[in-house]
Amino acid sequence: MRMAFHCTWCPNAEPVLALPASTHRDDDGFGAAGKARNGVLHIEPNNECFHDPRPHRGSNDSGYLGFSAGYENSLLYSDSIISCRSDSSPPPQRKHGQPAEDQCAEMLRSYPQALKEGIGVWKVVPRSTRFLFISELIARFSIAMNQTLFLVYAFYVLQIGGTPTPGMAPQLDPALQQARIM
Amino acid sequence: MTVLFISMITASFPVGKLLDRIGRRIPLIASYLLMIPATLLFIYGNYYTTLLAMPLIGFSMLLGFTSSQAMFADLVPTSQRGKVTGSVNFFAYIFMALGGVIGGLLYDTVSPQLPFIMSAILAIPAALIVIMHVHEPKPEDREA
Repeated sequence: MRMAFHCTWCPNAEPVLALPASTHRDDDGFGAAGKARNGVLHIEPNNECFHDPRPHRGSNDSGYLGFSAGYENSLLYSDSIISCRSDSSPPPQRKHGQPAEDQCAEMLRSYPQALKEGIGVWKVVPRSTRFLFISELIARFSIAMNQTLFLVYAFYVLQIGGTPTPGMAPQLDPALQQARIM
Repeated sequence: MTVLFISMITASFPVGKLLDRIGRRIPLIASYLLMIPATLLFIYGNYYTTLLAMPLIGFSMLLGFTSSQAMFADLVPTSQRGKVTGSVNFFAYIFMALGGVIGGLLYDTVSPQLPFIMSAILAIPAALIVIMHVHEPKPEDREA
């Protein structure tokens, strides 16, 4: 028995790949033509499909990685919303028939080990990665330091925007800043 | 703020393409350096300069986020990537929480301009670290 996989972007066209039925359970990460997880068949076009508007995410051609990162940034929120609202979301995974609560407990128990591994991983990564990490921390710190203050500063110090306050003198009203400049 | 996010949304695709063309290191350094004039333009500006400063800040943030993500993926082997990403986020969120608290305190107790000036100043060591110590792998040496 063979399974035929159609392109997600042009389902009426010829199958893009035909595989033996057993192959569809091969969960080898990105790049596979189709994968079955929790009874839901996920079909992805192969790399030869030119109808797919997305960059070839996960292909071994890391030349497109930056483009993929930019693409994913722009779709991150829409993806999350669709996932949360989808009625066809698969049920929570159960490992070896374990209830989900047991898995949560197991996850909590393994927290110290995960923490240790997360810190220890910096000993084995390339030197450039450690410095990139430090610069990333500085950047995130400095962004967090002022990102919540932009609006406050613009309104109270630069006196930009807002609804005119009836009881306030026009020269003190932030909402009239633009009028004052003109 | 709307202008900031609009600039980030519209620049996402071109920035991704730019990173593939010229590499990740130069845009990362540029993002730090661009943050300095953009921030100064904002804090010493008015209505019109703010309209210029906010897209610049948004573009700089986008450039920084995208290039650092891509650079991490290039440098870290696949087997360690999950742990590294988790670890980066763990420490980054701690630093972001600290940044929020310190920024608010500086704004209230010292000067409203100080958190922004500090942010511009901190961009210099961040850029220097990348210039001196972060070496981008060649396209053929990037981790798959």
